Amino acid sequence: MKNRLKVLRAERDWTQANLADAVDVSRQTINAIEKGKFDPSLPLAFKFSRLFNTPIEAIFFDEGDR
Amino acid sequence: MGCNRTKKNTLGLALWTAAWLISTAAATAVATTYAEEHYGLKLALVIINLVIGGVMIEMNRRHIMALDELQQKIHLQAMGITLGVTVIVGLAYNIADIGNLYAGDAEFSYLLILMSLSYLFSIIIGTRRYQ
Repeated sequence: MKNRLKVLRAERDWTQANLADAVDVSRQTINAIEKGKFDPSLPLAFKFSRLFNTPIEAIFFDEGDR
Repeated sequence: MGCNRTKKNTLGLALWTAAWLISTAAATAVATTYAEEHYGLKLALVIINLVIGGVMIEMNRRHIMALDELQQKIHLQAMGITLGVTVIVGLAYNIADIGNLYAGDAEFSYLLILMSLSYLFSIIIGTRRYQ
């Protein structure tokens, strides 16, 4: 699964550590999600959605969708 | 993630693990030294060892629950690998002992070392995989 986390984070000039603190996970987890190595759970995806005020499907998408 | 909470749980786990190791060493030393005497002391040390071990297990559970979902996944995979390695190698080790394929008796402590190393390397490999 691909995502736009890195873009959304960069738009706000946040570091991975900033984002990690905001959603209560480790920086390593943010890094793994951004690189597509780890797919977050639905609760964590909702946290990203609320934080960026963006629908989940606009943050996470299947590679075949775009 | 709740970095302070994770650090606090890790420190608690480290302290109780150290306490368990010390109580294990004390119980073993007394049991070895006084094989035929001091029954009450030996029993007390074994009970203390079990109680501290129980607390250590609870601290480990809290430590795991305080980790985030990726860290929990890494630990879960490490536990699965460790369980498999221990069962398979442990049984092979036992069969080798029964068949006298090596000198000496099978030692349970070797299995503990194997478990520790298997868990440690699984965590390291799992962590590197998600970097």
